[in-house]
Amino acid sequence: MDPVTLEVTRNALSGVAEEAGVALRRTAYSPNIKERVDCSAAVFDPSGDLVAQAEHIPVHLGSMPASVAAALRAFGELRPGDQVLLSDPFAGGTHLPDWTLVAPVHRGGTLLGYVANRAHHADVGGMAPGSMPGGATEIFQEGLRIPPVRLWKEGREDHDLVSLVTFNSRTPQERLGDLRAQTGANRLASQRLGELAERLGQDLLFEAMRATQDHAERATRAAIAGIPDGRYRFEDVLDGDGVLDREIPIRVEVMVEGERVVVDFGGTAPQQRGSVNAPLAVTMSACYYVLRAVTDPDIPANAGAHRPLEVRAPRGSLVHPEPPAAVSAGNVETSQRIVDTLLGAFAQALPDRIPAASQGTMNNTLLGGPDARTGGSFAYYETIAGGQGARPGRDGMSGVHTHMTNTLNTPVEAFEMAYPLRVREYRLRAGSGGDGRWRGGDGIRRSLEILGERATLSLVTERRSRGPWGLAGGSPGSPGRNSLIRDEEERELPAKVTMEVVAGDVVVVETPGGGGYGET
Amino acid sequence: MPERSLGVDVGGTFTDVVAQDERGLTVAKVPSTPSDQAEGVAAGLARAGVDPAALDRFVHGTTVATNAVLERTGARTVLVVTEGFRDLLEIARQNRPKLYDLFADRPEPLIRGELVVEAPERVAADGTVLGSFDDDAARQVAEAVRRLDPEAVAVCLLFSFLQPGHEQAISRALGRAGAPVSLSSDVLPVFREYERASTTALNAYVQPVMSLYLGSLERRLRQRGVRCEVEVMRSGGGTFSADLAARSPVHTLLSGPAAGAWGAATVGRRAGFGDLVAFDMGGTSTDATLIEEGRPRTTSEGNIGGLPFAVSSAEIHTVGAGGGSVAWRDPGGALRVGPRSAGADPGPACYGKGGTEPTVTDAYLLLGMLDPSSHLGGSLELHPEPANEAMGRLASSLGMEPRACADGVLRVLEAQVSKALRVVSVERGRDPRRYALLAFGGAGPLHQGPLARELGFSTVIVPRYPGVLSALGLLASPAMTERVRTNVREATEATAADLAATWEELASDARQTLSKQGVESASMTRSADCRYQGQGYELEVAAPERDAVTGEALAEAFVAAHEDRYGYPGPGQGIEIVNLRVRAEGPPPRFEPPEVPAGTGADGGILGHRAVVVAGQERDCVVFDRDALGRGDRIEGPAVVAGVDSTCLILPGQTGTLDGAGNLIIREG
Repeated sequence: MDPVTLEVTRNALSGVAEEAGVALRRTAYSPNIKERVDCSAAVFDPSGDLVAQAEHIPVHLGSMPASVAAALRAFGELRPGDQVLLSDPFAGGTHLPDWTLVAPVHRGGTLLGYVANRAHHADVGGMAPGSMPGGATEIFQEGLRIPPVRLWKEGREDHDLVSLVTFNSRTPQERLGDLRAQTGANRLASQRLGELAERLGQDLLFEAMRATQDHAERATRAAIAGIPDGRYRFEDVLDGDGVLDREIPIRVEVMVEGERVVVDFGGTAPQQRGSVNAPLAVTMSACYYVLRAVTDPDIPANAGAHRPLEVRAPRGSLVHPEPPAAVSAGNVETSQRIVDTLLGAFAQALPDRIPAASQGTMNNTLLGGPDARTGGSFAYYETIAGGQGARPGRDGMSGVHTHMTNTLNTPVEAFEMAYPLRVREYRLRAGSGGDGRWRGGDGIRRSLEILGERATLSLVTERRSRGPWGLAGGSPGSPGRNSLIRDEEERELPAKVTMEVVAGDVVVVETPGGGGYGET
Repeated sequence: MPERSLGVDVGGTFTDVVAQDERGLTVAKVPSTPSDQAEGVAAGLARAGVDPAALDRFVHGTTVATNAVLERTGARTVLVVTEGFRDLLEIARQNRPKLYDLFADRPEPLIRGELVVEAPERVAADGTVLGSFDDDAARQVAEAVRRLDPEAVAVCLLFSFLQPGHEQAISRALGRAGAPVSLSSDVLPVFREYERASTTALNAYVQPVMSLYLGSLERRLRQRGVRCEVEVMRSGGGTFSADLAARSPVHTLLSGPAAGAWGAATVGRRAGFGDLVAFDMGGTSTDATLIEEGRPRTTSEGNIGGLPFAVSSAEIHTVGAGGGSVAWRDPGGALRVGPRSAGADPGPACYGKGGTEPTVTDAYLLLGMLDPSSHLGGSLELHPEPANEAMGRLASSLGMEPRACADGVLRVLEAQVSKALRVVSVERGRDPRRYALLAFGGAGPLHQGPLARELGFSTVIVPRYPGVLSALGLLASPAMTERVRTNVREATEATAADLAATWEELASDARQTLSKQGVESASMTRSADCRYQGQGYELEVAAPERDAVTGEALAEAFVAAHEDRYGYPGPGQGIEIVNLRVRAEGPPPRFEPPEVPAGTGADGGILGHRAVVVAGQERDCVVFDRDALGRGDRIEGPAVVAGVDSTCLILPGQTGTLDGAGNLIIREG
């Protein structure tokens, strides 16, 4: 395909995904999707390979293709008007709150491809509000597990299925609204892909899909060729799984051979009892994220860009667990550590282009309980930013989300109007960034006061025992710290905990600073 | 009789002037004077050739505040926040600007932590004061502020939109003598502390420089005999007095683009098209705006250099591609255009100032769309040779013929602009077939044809003066002011009396502001921002046009607006009213540009013939002189219509007709 048609059709194809993403965000009901933008939309070719994706958070990047593959595995062939819903992390999902909807696109009897979108649903049942319980040891405790099912069959919604899946949430109305938004976004994307086929002609559309993948592959290979060949090993650890207080190693060997990269997780810890297990799709997302960050962020994310990468993740390990492993923290915490480990390896190949470790956690904070103001109950979930690792040539940013997430905070005024809670403090932790020629960014200190009679607190955090590492002689950032102030007495809390709190208690989360870069 | 009015819009390179008096419209461009914009404005006044003393209106679009923010040359500003929130501006919303770029930085906060003072006060979410914060405490805060030696002070305390007392106490303690003070409860009494603080900080930061500028401008204009009040264009549309602009400069941050959007709306409305999509293609970027019922859409989610401001501004979608954009081959072998631009120096290769990279403008020249002897706006000579060389190098790296490559550059550019046009229309559920496309900016009219065809616009408007539409927008803008206040409650609980009382308070405040500018009769538009409980976004809904508006009526309007915007109505209950708004607008200006005399057939305007590559094919095109055409003259494509500040290409199959205002109205067939 000529370089002009290539660029013009690439724009059109990515436009389909982007428009579907905007529609999903606009029509979704829950703040988690509308305000925090925890959702994605994508277009696939007839073989189920990714063509274009509008992603808002990186952890969805590599995991959407797995959803299409799972839907096709389950049903062989999809009929016009079908839409497949799934959430099972062992069959195309990431963690249970992420619901993915896959639809085939037909035109005049020909399969043009697939469209899919994913949204993080605020509650999908399980043992604690928000469906990310700290103490889970099996996936069944984490909420409703949805294998690929046809929510729509040949243009008709299966009302029985809809009521089954929404009934299992603590907030069924909201689930219904979000699910309808997802359905609508897929319909819109199908319509747009059909229009594109009309405008270009089917043959040119298929050629454009192939060409845009080949283009991304060429660009990725060219960028990899600029990375010195070699084998680069690195090891990092998780603090623990919330069940056993024991460090969990992640080991990686990155092999750069000409225009390809092999990532081997051999030697990584086996899957754990707690919820830190990262389903393969999450591990793949982390690998794709790093590949994109170390090559050229401008290269479009599609199947072609991923072809030069091979990932070897041993079955039954932390990074490729088998059912019925609990996985809710794999998506939000382990994914961050996989990124740290890979960047640590790439730093040896590209010493001037890789930052020191960033905070390496999302500091998941969940509070729920009765709300006397409404007579009902409340459920609050938020992730807290921290320090970015220092970059060669400049300091790390302070109080910012890094790597696998980029969700916005809830404004303090919106938060206090919505929940029986008060923010006492929301400051940077001065000096928490690691020392170095360039300093790591500072973490955050956020204190929440409980105003209601009681509440259940869950913390799912990391980097509480060791701070994020420095590079090239830079010092590590300060580790994070969780504590509870009750009757003016402060006591430290574990990295992962679920506990009861009462009126007047103040929960203090201090997030890690980024590592420093270079000797001072 | 039309007013005698002068609109002066300052841009990066040129200061555009449009004057209206009994002789009609006079249009001029003078060089901008970045070190003191007032100089260029004065030169513009002189060039316009109007009698300064006879002017009824002087309306100004300025980038003084904008530049002060972008170049970080504003005042040394101290921020006062609630204890515990020192780093409010730096933490922002916790997100980073680019997902995969490890080296991309967020914008530096306008005010660093060392210039922030924490006030030991707290107001709860229901407006009650926790603990005590007396005048003594306020004095201590003021003292801490003074020690930091500020040139401006911003105060943003939590929940001050419910309880402004603490902010006011600090303001009193600071006194009138010191640095100017911006209170968040005055600037923007709505919830969401980061956006409110950012807006307040921006206001304080640019206030001294804006105040100085407007003072010196007024003096200069008075010296030259101008007697009327100086009005400044607001980002959200309409104008306000220079005096108000000096105190609330945050409303001028997007003054220029707003003037462009209002200029487009005015031209469209007068040509009989209230609903249109306008795009302004400049040198480095292209702006797209949706205009409905003759008004550009506004948003309260504007930002400047990544810093948000929540006062209203024209809703504009920008892509980084325009006439100066550089074309390049990416590592995967695709032809790309922008976002890098050759700028003015060295500029496109054809400027002959040493530029070696091919740009969009070079493509125009090689394809015959620009005449090398036309001098592009009068001052610049165009050189085909360097353009040819630059395009040739790119073409051979892509394995293409140079001319096919130049044609490809335009197609890639159009693919990007087309996306921007879709974002403001199709993606909002608007069907382009029901809208007109208005093409302006120096390069816009060259792309009208392919873009209109791709999206299905049935009519294209190319205005009489595509290069000075912003200055025209100034003349057509009435005095305007807006008021907003947060008061969250369930729609079902809001009685008509409650709502009317708040709206009346806001309206009377707004009326007072306008009357200080000499505007005695104003039309009031009442609206409310509503949402479903728990949603993170509000939707502004106009209050039904009747006296007693109940919460239920607003809720109904909200459900309809929700369906219109998002395609489904939502559950229909659990609706909250979040903000109440009033917009007060003075009478419409008497902007009455004269009719263009009837034409005698387009043939009289023929300048000659030129070979132009249209959609990959070389065509013999008639070249018309825009200024020699009259009302009713028809031009069949392919044709080039050359104007002073812009060139228009009419495609084969399109026909352009000059309307009474001198706009080219282009349709298929």
